[in-house]
Amino acid sequence: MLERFDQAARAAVVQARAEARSAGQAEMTSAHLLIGLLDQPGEAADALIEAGVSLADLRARIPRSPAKAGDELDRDALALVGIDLDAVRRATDAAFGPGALDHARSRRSGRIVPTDDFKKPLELSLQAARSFGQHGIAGGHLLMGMLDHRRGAAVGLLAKAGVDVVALRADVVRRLSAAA
Amino acid sequence: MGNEGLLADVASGANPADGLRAARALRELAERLEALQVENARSHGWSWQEIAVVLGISKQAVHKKYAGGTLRRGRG
Repeated sequence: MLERFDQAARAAVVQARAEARSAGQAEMTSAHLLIGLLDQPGEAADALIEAGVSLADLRARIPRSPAKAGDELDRDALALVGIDLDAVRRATDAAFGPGALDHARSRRSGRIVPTDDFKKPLELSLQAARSFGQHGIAGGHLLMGMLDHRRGAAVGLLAKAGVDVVALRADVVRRLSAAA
Repeated sequence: MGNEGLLADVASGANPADGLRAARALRELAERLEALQVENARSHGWSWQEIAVVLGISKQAVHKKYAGGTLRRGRG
């Protein structure tokens, strides 16, 4: 299925995993996919931004696990060889989000499992593309798939962020129609 | 950084425990930074091959270490 995705849709799937990991989660949901899609230039991100959604706000609303105890980096030992762990952490927080360095360990050991909630929008995006008579799946189709998964985590996240999901869907359809 | 004395101690090897602990901490930090950067490169559309070349390891090694989940497909 993924080979039919355009650049934005594909990058959204890749980034969804990164979003789940940096939140310390072992499973990825459609909420992670939504955040991943918002970060890819295209009609989906345009519609989301128009609806007042921001990356920082969505990231702040998804569940986060604290880093596991005992996984801490050895600050004193690093200082012995001239590494300022706080400075490294400031840089990685700025580049990859708060706590990125602390969650990086579990990236290596743990697999991120896609949930049914994650897969459902992917299936629905096929239908969305088909409704436009298109074979390739664009970011906008993927967003439609997420919005059509009414009980999904992405819709729940958007509702919490105060977004009118019905209006957002209409806007995406309009943008896809204009581009077609 | 103002801890040249400490650096000299570790480098001199006078205290193996400190030296080993420092080496271990560096390895852990390097692993985490590598994981973050690989993830970042992937989200910027880098192929496993491109990442492997820069890391100086085989494509198979980098893929085995970082490719996860069931959704990965193609683009090697």
